[in-house]
Amino acid sequence: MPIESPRLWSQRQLLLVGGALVSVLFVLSLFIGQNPLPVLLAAGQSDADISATVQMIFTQIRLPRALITLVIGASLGLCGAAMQSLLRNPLATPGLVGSSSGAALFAVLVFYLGGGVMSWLLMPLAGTLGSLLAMAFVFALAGRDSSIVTLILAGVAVNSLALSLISLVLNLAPSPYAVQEIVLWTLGSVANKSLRDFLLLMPATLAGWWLLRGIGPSLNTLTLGEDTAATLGVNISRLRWRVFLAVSLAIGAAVSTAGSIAFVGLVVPHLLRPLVGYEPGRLLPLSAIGGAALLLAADIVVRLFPGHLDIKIGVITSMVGAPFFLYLIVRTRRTQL
Amino acid sequence: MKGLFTLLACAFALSMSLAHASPAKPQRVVSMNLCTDQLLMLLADPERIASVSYLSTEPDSSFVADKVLAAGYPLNHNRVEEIIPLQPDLIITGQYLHLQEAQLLRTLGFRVETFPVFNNLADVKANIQRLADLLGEPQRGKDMIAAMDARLDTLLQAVPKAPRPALSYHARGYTQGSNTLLHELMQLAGWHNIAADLGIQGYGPIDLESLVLAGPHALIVSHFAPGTRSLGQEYLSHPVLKQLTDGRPPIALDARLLICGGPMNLIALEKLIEARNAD
Amino acid sequence: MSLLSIQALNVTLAGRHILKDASLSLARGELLGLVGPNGAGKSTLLKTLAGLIAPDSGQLTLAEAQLDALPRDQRARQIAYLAQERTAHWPLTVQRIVALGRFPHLADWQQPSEADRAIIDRAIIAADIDHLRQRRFNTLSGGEGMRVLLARALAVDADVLLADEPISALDPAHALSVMQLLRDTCERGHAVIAVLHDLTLAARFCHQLVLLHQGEVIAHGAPQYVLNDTNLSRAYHVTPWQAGEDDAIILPWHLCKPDTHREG
Repeated sequence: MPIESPRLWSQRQLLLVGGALVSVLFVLSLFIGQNPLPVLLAAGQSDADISATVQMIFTQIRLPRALITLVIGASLGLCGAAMQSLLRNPLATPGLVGSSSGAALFAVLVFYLGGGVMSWLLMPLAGTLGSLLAMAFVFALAGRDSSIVTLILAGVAVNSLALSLISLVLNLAPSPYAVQEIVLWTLGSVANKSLRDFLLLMPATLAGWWLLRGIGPSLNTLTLGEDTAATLGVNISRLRWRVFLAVSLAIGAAVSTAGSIAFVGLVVPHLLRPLVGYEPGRLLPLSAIGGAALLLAADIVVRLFPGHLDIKIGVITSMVGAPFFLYLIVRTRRTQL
Repeated sequence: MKGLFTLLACAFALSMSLAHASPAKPQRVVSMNLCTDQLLMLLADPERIASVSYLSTEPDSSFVADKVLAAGYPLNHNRVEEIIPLQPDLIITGQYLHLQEAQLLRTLGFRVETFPVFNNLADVKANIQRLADLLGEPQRGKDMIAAMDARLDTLLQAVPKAPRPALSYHARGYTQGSNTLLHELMQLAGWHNIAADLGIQGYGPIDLESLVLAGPHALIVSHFAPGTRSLGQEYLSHPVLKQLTDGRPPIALDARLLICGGPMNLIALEKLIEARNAD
Repeated sequence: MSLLSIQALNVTLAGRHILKDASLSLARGELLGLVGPNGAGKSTLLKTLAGLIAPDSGQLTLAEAQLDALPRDQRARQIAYLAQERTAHWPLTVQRIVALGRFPHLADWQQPSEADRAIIDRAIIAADIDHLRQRRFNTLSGGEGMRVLLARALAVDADVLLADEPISALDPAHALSVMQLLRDTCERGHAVIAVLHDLTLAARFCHQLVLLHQGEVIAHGAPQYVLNDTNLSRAYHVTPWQAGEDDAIILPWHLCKPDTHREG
């Protein structure tokens, strides 16, 4: 870490560059698919059938997928940054402290055992509830000023409990296909989503984002510990529940739409933190943009595989994230334990 | 461990004595597979059936579920310890299923006959005749095949000449390409299976974009376990599918008509022809 | 007229009666040293004043207002607190850490004004950390870090500054300059309460001392009155030691760097 750190880019510049990157990736993900670009091909043709087909692929398949990827990536990045800042712990991400798997468990319960239109609407809320319960459980288990070790141990316990319960629910589910679908929930997938899925994703996601709006300065004060933050006028328990609820809403919606996609919430804030001078408040929006960019990029990689190889997006994020996670553990061991 | 060996040894001795007494016409036939279950039900005298598999009672999968339930045969779950006490003189099953159990039963001296996978009506007929021969009732096989051929002739008279492009689409995004029974039935019914054009052989996945690009005029679905829900089954409710076929509902075939080979395959053919004519 | 006063304060933590009928008062411009052995309740008293611990009973008044009736943000503007914790969880720059002190004065979405920046600069200069502005907190020495955190507390520009052990673990020069800084802060019209273990420096810089022993205020007043033989032996079980002629002793010291604070 450099002793003096000249700030290369202002926050505005970072957000602009990040926004531009996300836009480019978003457009790319509209044009890259399992099939060679049919667009240019269609542009030269006057055949109405072909242009209708291309339009269908764009509006019904690629657009929803790109939108969902964008929103979920942003949620994962944002929630990772918010949780890390709140708990002042670089490993405290929704995936590691069990809130993603808690969300998955409740979404799975509603999806496989429920039925009808209501259950579609209930899934994001069930995910929110599951996420909130898992987080409260880990928090109760690890304690307030939790060390990295206790937090991870509590997270491991909740994650494996949730995983085994998901597996049990899938075994008990009436559908014969359910058993094979655990990988969709535990690794995550954005394939075969429709605009309806996107619309179902949005309400809880926006509610979560809305709750985190303007929270930056309060999170900044936590840099000096909860006591100092409290004497600066921050209502700590309200702040905590606000973040927990916001993360649960956004993660609950994301997981019930695409399963729990690992490591985005961990890697993105870490990569971006030096760029914003380690300041939690400035990290939040940038981390949302970074999460969106990473997930869009991962989904483009997924689609570069031949169509019959149905690679899940979580496979890519885990392949990037797991080595990074190990690196973090080693570095944290060296500096903090 | 020792107890298990003792048990196996006893079973072995028992089965050896039975094997020697096995008559030309098997009297106690056990089927371990849904497909052999159904052919057995259609070809054998009821008193010669010792057991069929539990799947044969599931109405979604089995065409003879009612009959099996009415006859009250002992059901097996493909477990060796269930089958030994039945003292069968013929065990029939599929070629690629329950390999370990079949091998163990053979080792214990039982007669196990396996039936190959079918990829077309000729395979189906061959399996029918083979089972009829094994049962010592070759004429019943010939009669059943002749009835199927006659039915086929009648059905094919109503088939339109120009084939239209269609594609089957199942849970988890699977389709049937060339070298499948459905492929042959589609061709017979006046549908052109574009999954085969895409190079898909057998049962294989097709991504949604390729499906849309292929531009099928009709989609053929077979709802397995209707009324249940899974992410795999959600593939079939993607809104683009409806748009693709201009809002026409897909041609729905009961899964039990196609899971196994037999006369019920012709009911599927009849529905495909009806759909083609109604189009 | 007293700015801050405590009447008959009782605090119980985890079933233990930590503070028993503690009372004290403080006027503007006063530096009050809170002394006493480990576990006497000094930090608890400070945290109670900072609003981190709710008292069981007692009157806390700040400028004739009930302290517990003050809204959270107003209280944060009027009382600054320097915690004993000396860590920053993220390696922010010195400038940004000091700027956190303006948090209570900014509404949501409000950017620091010129006036805010002037106060931050003043705190940075007062704490003599101007040359460290762009350094990351984790690269600072203990003394530098202490002064940065103190500057953060000064940047609140509150009437009352509560400092929990501001000079523990500092070398003599740093300890001296921090005490001087606290004294200067008082002279600008603020009131300061500091928990101190160094009785020599406490006696030298503080206007008044409060000696806590097992949760009770056993002496309150001018240093020479509080630090008498009886009180010291009762609270600390020590007696003042008179150096003999041949004993090597370290006398109370002065800063000798030419550019440091004037001696009060």
